[in-house]
Amino acid sequence: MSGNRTTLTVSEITAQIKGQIESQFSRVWVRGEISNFKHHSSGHMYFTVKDAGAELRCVMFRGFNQSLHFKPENGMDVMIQGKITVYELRGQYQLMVQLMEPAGIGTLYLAFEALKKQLMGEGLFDESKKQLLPSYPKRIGIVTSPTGAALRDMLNILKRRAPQVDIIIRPALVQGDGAAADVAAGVQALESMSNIDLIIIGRGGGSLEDLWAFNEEILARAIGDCSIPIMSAVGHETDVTISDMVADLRAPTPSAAAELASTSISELSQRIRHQKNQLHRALENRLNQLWQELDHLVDRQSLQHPRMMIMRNREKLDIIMHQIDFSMHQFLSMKSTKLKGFEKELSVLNPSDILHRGYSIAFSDDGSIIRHADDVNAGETFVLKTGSGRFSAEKKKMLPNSG
Amino acid sequence: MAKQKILDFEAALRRLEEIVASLEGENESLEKSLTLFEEGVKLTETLRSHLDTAEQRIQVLMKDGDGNTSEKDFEG
Repeated sequence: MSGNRTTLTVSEITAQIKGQIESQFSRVWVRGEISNFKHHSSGHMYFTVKDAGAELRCVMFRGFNQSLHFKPENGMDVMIQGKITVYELRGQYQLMVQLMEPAGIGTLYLAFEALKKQLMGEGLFDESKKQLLPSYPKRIGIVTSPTGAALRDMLNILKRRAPQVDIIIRPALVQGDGAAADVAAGVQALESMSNIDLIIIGRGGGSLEDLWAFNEEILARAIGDCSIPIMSAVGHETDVTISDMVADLRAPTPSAAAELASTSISELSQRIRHQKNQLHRALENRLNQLWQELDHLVDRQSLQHPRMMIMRNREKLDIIMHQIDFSMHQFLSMKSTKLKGFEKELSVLNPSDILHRGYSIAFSDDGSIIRHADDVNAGETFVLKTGSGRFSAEKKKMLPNSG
Repeated sequence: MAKQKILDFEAALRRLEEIVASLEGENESLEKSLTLFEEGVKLTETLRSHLDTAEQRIQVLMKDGDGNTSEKDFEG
């Protein structure tokens, strides 16, 4: 009946088909549209890719799909790499997927690399082009979507952290047609306002396509040309755009940009407090030092050559005394209410103590201090102030120096 | 419209630091030291009140049909 007919069992022919197909299609790239996508609870993905004329069953096991950079969806145009396997039990073949990426990414990626190379060649990313960010910005300009989470996050942080900083928002399209040009125009609009210390451009996370505006040349050039420091804050930490590379500083996220842009108000308060303490300490030291100099002078002179030396230096001393007295009065009266604490320290330096030591101060009739013998004419009256009480006096005549 | 808020915070803080440095330098006369001190105290007061009264102003840059821009307060 079937003497020389070669008959194969189903298993045999299936095994042969399997061997041929699997060796011929052990590593292929296929492009098609995803349909019937199912992400099973086991973690494996099952779907078909199709075009107008055919369908191909696909499976992407958990171990492979964990490294996907996007979420596959029905209708998505994808590039797939894998091998054809035959499932003998059911006589079916399928593509076992190892790599998958959106089909569009290839061209975007190429465009990104080309622009990056070109701008790098022109020096737009050079460190020498980077402007220093202001330490104490008074006004920050933000170019972003007025409704995005990025803006909300930045405003929240700036409000809490740096209420001393004013903000101006330039609403802009951040994805889709015209977005790059709009953000670029926003940068230019803020730059032309002239009272802005820092510009932040950015948006929240999204797919590569969503972030694409920040990889376009028109925006890169606007950032490069801007005379005001610019911070770029696009997407998540792992998204690096051309804008980030041209900007003066790249912030990993919009929230981080808000932190980096401003010095916190508590830090500023602390600096001021510190300077105030330093100020008081410095004056105290200075006064102590001057007093010491004075005391030394008095002691040394009187020990060495009692009268003569003192007399010789008396004029000099008097001038210093007068300065102290005059300054102290002026200073204490102006500051007495505001600087109660400090006044206490100063009280030990009260100029009236000096007067009690036996020095006097001469005031001319107009109230100014007489520092030189020439300040008063012979016959003119003046007031002499002592440690306790004042009296009026009259200049008789000039005496020779160091008499 | 514009509030009286023309303090250059950075310059004022830098001046304060300068004053402290010259007082610490021990070269100034007594009179000059006191003048500097007084200026320093005034500066700390100005800086402090600037921070104490800080009230963030948020504005939006609006564009009308003719391409002119204006600033409006942000309501968000």
